[in-house]
Amino acid sequence: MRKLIIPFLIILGLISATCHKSQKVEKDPMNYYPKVKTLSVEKLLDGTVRVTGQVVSQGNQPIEYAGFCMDTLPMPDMISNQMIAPTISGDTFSCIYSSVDFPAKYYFRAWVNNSNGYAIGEPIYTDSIAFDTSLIPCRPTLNHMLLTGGTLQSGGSTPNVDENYTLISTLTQSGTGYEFDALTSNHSINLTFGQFPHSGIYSSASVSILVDGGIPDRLM
Amino acid sequence: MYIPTLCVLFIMCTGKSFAQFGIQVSEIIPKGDIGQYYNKGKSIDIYFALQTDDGKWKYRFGFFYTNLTPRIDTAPICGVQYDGNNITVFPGFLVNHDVNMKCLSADIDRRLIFIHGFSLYIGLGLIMGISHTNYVKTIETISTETGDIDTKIAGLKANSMLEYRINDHFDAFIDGSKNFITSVNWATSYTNYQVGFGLHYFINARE
Repeated sequence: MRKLIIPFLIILGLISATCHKSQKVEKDPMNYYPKVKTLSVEKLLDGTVRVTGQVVSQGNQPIEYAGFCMDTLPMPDMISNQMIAPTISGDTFSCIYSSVDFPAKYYFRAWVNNSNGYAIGEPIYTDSIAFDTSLIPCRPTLNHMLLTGGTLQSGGSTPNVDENYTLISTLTQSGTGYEFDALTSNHSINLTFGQFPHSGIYSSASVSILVDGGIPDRLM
Repeated sequence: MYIPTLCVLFIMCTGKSFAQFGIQVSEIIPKGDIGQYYNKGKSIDIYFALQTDDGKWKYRFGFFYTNLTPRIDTAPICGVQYDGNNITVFPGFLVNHDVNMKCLSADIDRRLIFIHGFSLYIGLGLIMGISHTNYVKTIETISTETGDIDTKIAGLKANSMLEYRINDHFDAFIDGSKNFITSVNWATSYTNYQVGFGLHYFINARE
């Protein structure tokens, strides 16, 4: 009986010890931790800022949280104005900062964490901000205006969606700002600005257009 | 508790035996909870062994020591604070220093093959002792923890050993083990692989 017990114990021990699966050991110890990149900072039309980051690697554990920090100091600390992204879409995530006051210079850094630790990206600052051109219905051709962004108000006739404006008047100062007229064969549109407009392409994405016979259409 | 029990077991099982001293130098390959933090390291085993007359069973009782160095100087850890619906992730760091383990071990090995002076053994062992380390763990604005701790550890070994009889007094061997170790409070567990070589010295010359 004694001869059987000891081999049995040995075999039992060998099986239990060799079958125990341990966590894979990474060759590079930093592979336990996630890696992240601060991708872009975009100033949106409503004056907020959208920051986007990318999970380069999640490490050897799933990502728990991803977000951003922001400061006027060049290397913002992870908890400075921290925002956590609600979702990670694919490998990118975004947050919108509304408490920005331009022209101050802001620095943003993306960060992520898993159960082992965290990683934080290099800062991007607001000098490198680009407008999100996907929201602007721009056409590079001069005198060519798109009316697709406006809302046709009641009482007006339907304008052509796409019209060539053959005459644009001189910019004049009005009581509340600046204005000019743009004429087509069928319509006249009066564009007004609260401030002196710089040259460029203007969008009617968030305003209304009135079309009413001989009364100039107004882009508010 | 384990060691006296094993001693009694040895006495019961040995009968007329050959007594030996053994020394083994090994490479320790940490896995599991400690594989993330510690490099491979060297270990030494010094033990007393008894072998039955027919050479089929070998009982080893000895001392094991190893010292492992940390893989990275500072690990970037973090802490999560939940305050109602607000979640804040705080950065932090963990600085680990060397960990060393001093253990007693007891092994039973069974010879499977004996041919042309070579013996192949498989076996099972128990290990228990103290693991010592110190560390600094800081979570920004929340906590700083400094540890200088001895942890009681215990574990199980799965052994395989190929031994060669050099002469009446000496055997040379190579040994591979997988060790499953846990802290006595179950706070951490890990495995490590131990691959080494050594010598057995028989106190009384064999025939």
